[in-house]
Amino acid sequence: MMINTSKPVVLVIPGNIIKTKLKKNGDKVASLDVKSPKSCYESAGDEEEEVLRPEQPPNLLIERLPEHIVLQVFQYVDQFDLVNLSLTCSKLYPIAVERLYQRVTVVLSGEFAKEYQSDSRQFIRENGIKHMDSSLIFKIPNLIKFFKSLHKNTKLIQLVKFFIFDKCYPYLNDINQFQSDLIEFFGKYLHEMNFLHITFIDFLSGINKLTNFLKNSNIRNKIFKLFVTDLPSLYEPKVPKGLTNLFLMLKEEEILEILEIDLSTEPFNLFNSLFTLTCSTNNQFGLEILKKFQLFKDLKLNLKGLTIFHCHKESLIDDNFISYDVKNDDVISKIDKKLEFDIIEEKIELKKLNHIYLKIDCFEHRINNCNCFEKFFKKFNHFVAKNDGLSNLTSFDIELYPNYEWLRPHLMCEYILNPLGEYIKNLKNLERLTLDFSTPAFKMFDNGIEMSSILLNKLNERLIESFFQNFKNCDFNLKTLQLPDFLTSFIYYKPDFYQLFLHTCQCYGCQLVLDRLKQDFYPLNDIDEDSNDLDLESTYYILIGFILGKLQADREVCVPIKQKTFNYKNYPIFKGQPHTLHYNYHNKNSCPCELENDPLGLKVDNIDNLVTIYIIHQLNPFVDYLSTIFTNLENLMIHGIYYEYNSESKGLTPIFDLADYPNHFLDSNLTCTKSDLPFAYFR
Amino acid sequence: MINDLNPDGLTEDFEVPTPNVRSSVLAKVLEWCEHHKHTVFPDDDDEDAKKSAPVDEWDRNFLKVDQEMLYEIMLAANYLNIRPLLDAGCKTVAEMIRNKSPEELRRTFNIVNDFSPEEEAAIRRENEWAEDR
Repeated sequence: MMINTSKPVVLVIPGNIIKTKLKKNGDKVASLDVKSPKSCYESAGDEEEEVLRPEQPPNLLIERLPEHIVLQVFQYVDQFDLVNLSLTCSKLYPIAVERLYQRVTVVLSGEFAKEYQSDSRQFIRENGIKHMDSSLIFKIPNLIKFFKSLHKNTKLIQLVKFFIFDKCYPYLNDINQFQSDLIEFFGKYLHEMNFLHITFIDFLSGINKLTNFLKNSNIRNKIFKLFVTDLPSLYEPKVPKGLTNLFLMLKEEEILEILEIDLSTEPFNLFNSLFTLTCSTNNQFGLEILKKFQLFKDLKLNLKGLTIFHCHKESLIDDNFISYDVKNDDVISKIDKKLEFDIIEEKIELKKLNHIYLKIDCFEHRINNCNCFEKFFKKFNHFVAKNDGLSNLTSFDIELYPNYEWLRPHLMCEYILNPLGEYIKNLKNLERLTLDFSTPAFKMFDNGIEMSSILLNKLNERLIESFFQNFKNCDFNLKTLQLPDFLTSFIYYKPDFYQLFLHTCQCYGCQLVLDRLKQDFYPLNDIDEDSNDLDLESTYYILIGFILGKLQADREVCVPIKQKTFNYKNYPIFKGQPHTLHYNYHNKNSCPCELENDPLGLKVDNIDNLVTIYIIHQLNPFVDYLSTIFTNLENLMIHGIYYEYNSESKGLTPIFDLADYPNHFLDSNLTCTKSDLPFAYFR
Repeated sequence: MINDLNPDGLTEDFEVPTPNVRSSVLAKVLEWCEHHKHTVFPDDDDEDAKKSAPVDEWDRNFLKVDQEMLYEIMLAANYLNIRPLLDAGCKTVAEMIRNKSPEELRRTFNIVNDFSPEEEAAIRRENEWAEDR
């Protein structure tokens, strides 16, 4: 088993990634030759000789303490200490490496909370084993070294119980290859793996690789989480003994052919011992799966977490750019697609759930006068009221599908916001809430309708207030609130920038950012379209909107798999592609973007970062507003900006981003003065 | 701690099984329990709170004993299932480990290096990925 080292491993962060067009690089990052397993076991065998070792003196740590206590001690040291411990003697070596390899998390594009100032060693010391329960790998050369070690010493492979490869930007095409190789490698040799998570660079082929990986019999010894795309792969080659988390992503054809899934007999009795279940289908009709469950002696499923993907849509063929599995349209016509709370209630013991994640929606409000979304939450709310506020439920996520119905404000209130708000506020012990939709606002007006942006903003603001007002003085004690999409509805169809919510902060720094954008990007060279004739206002709108999109879509904190706490600053964040504005809007010609000095775009005066601060300034009124509603909030995320309650400033402050412009930026000598531009007055 | 065994208080004599626990160790454990009888410890399942909490000042002084005694206290705490005391012991040992070179570790814990220089070099290479260089 060899790693191809014939060529020097070149680790360049390419200076010219443009969207998905990746730099081709002749040098492989690493290739794991998975086809020659013998050599690897043989080489391990060679080192198996018994060596005579000197006696250890009696009060050695591990002579006195049993191994399980030593492992407890190792919970409190960091991975550097574990390396040093492994070097001390042959008795400590196995225990130290057991802990060191037990859980490995790879975060190649990780950034840290501000207090770490990009010091990865400091971050690892304080958070690795301690808060993430994991050894951490942040750099490609170390990832390669890690796999070399597994190849050289096969005993180490079986020590890897949890492996997480988190989101990263594709430095090189080879990361994709590397991910393929390693999942194949693990699939072949691992017998003890509990959990594997890879955020694939190439998502679609990744799903296939993952399903193939999970088909390996050796993987099913200890794995506790399965992802399956058809029912047989649940039990073939065998049902994992310790299966507790199941993600079903089935095809509608398969479900329609099944009369029932009988949970009283093998193999489907496995459902009765699950902790978490996720139901979805190719075209998001997850409730169809639940419908087929035939319960064992009327015993409802006793889960801790439930996730449902279901979207009511009568046809898969629409002119919107959602890509459904269109050939299935006639199959789907046999399904009753409406949202129906009773299906969940009949099959799941809702009172026991700790966590509910619903990605559900109805696209038929207007065309078919459907109110299934509203009815769903009214019934759910009724159930909540009858069952003591679902006292076990601490975490609730609701996500809507991108919706093209453009509901009018009163319909938005009636169909979505009111029933949802009523339901949520009755959840007695809710601690964590995620609302992922163009919160709660509307984006129905295009430029053809003569309504001023100020008026639209006012309407949006009222909608937001009427929704959140639900939670004022309400019983629960919310600690974490996440609003991944919040601002986009304000900017959707209205590129008259000066009137937008995105232009409400009147500070000098925000003015300077606009000046920088004008100086460095105007007139705009849009790579995708011929948009040279865009005026300055539209240019601001597009550039700031672009960063907003990146914050919303790309950012992700690498939260370890445990449900209790969400102290985001203990985890690394993926912030998305560096120099986004540059790669999308600059020509090759000279520009002030410091691609070579600062390839990762970490400097504060990097334009992406400045625009991020600009956006944070625009969010301030919202953050203040939300903290008057949710008075015990510890964590807040809006649009990819993570805030944490700071006891010194008695307010929410951004963890990963600067809240204010650096002084040297404010001193920079640009020509514009404060009073030059007209500012909108919002609020 | 003993009250915990019987929430209604001690109504009759009973034995706490403590085989192989030296009386001096048991005395220490009882001293700890006496001191902490009113302390509220974080939930066992609140891992983050448990891990973040530093060893409190009193415990730190209390555990300033020779290693033999420290390990015995930990063993007793483990045996008697006194989680907070065991955690304090684990953290104390972890502090003795933290930031030490292999040689310093050997000195601290009286460990004899039984690796050949080649073996040591091989292990160093094997775990080099974890050093985040």
